[in-house]
This record gives sequence, C-alpha cells and structure tokens, in this order.
Amino acid sequence: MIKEENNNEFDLQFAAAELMGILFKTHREFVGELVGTLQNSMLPAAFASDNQKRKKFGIFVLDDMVEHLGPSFFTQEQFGQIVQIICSFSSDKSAALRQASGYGIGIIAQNSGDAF
Amino acid sequence: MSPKVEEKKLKQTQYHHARDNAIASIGKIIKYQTAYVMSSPQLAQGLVAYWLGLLPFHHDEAEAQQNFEFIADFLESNPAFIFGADPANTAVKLAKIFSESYQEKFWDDSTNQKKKMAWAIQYCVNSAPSPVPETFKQTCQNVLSNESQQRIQAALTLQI
Repeated sequence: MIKEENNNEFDLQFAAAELMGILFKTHREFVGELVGTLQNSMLPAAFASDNQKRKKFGIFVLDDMVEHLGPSFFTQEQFGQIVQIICSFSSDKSAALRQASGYGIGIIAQNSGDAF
Repeated sequence: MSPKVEEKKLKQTQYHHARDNAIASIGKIIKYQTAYVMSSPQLAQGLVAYWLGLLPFHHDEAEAQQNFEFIADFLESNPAFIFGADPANTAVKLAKIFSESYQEKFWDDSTNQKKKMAWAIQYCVNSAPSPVPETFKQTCQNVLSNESQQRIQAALTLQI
C-alpha cells in the first residue's frame, strides 16, 4: 500500500517536471520565481535524497532548463553548476540516472553554444 | 510474467537506453560543437572514430535517427571530417551503420530522411574518395548479412 502510494507520488512528480518543462518552453519570461524556488530548495532536496526517482526528477528538470531556458537565462556560475550536476550522473550506477544525464549532455551540446 | 523477470527486463531496457543516450550525446557534441571538436585534430579524429565505432544503436530510435542524419550531413558538408586518418576503417564502419540505418523505422515520411540516407550510401559507393568505395563494397559483400545487403541495394536503386 505504502509502496503504491509512493509510486503514485513519484508519477505525480514526473508529471510536474513535464509541466515545468512546458512552462520553461512557453513562458520563459514568467518562470524566474519558479526557477529560483527550484534552485534554492526543490532541486537541492531532490539531489540530497537517497531515492533514485527523486534524483531522476531533478535531472529531468535541469535538462529542461538547459533545453528551454539556455545559458543566457542564468549567470555563468549558475549554468556551470547545472552542467556539473548533469554530468556528475553520467557514470552513476543507476542506468535510469545515466540515461537522463546522457540525454542532458547532448542537450547541453545542442543548446549552450559558445558557453559549452 | 514474474516480478523478478519483469524487473530484470526493465533493468535491461534502462541499460540500453542509457547506452544509446550516451552515444547520441557524443554525436550531438560532434554535430553542435563542431568548431570546438575540430580545434584539436587529435580530438576530432579520436572522437569521430570512437562515435562511429559505437554506432549503430537500436533501442532509442529517435536518437538513432538523429545520429544517422548527422553522419549524412557531415558526408555532404565535410567528408574528410568523417573519414579521418583511416578512411578504409571508416568505410567498414559506415557500411555496417548504413545497412542498419536504411530502414523505415528510422525515417519520418514527412521529411527527406530516407533520401538523405540513400544519398549517403550512394556517395560512399560511387563518389567518395578512394579507398572508401572499394572497402564499403567489399564489406557489404563479405561481412553483411543478406538482409543488410538488400537494404544497401535498395538505397542504391532509389532515385534521388
């Protein structure tokens, strides 16, 4: 029962990540506050968690930030941190996290231009 | 299906998708950061040869399709970048890659992907610098399965 409820919760989080990705894409100029909240509290909590699905949620959100907001939305230091976090999962023992990281690295190459 | 078998299947799928995405990301670095890659001839040769050696992949079809297109684009714009220092070895790799990539599942009918793939195969067989055409044809004859050879044949007969 608890396991099922947790799975529902993670499904909900992935759906929220997808929605945030769509917001980044379509309402770039209005997502500053959301990005701040993600960077200051939600993402650090996700990456500090022992749960693989929470980490995957975090990488998905970062992948979408790179894809839809790009380096110009962030300071150089912030963008560097995002890239570092995505790359840090490229050799993770979890294939699901490596997949999200591998996808993100391609997105970084595609969207970061000279900032690469 | 038992939960254990299901879990193993899921792990295998995740492994293959992780591998495919990693290879695809190398392709994207080469495609979208070409100037950076080419700034070091050693990096360019090493990375392109490594990437081609890992292709084709099969599990993530969207990423595979994109990577196959990158090769065709480079063959059109800068073939030397793809052939590198060992064109014969590259030709062997290209024959194996293209014999896989020329399949319906890898192209979208609303685009020119099929023609692009066919053009790349025709280029390797007919007009690429020597020793690419000879090695490409030899690989098709001596290494590829009948099914793969038929795909190459189909690409060679497509009117572009």
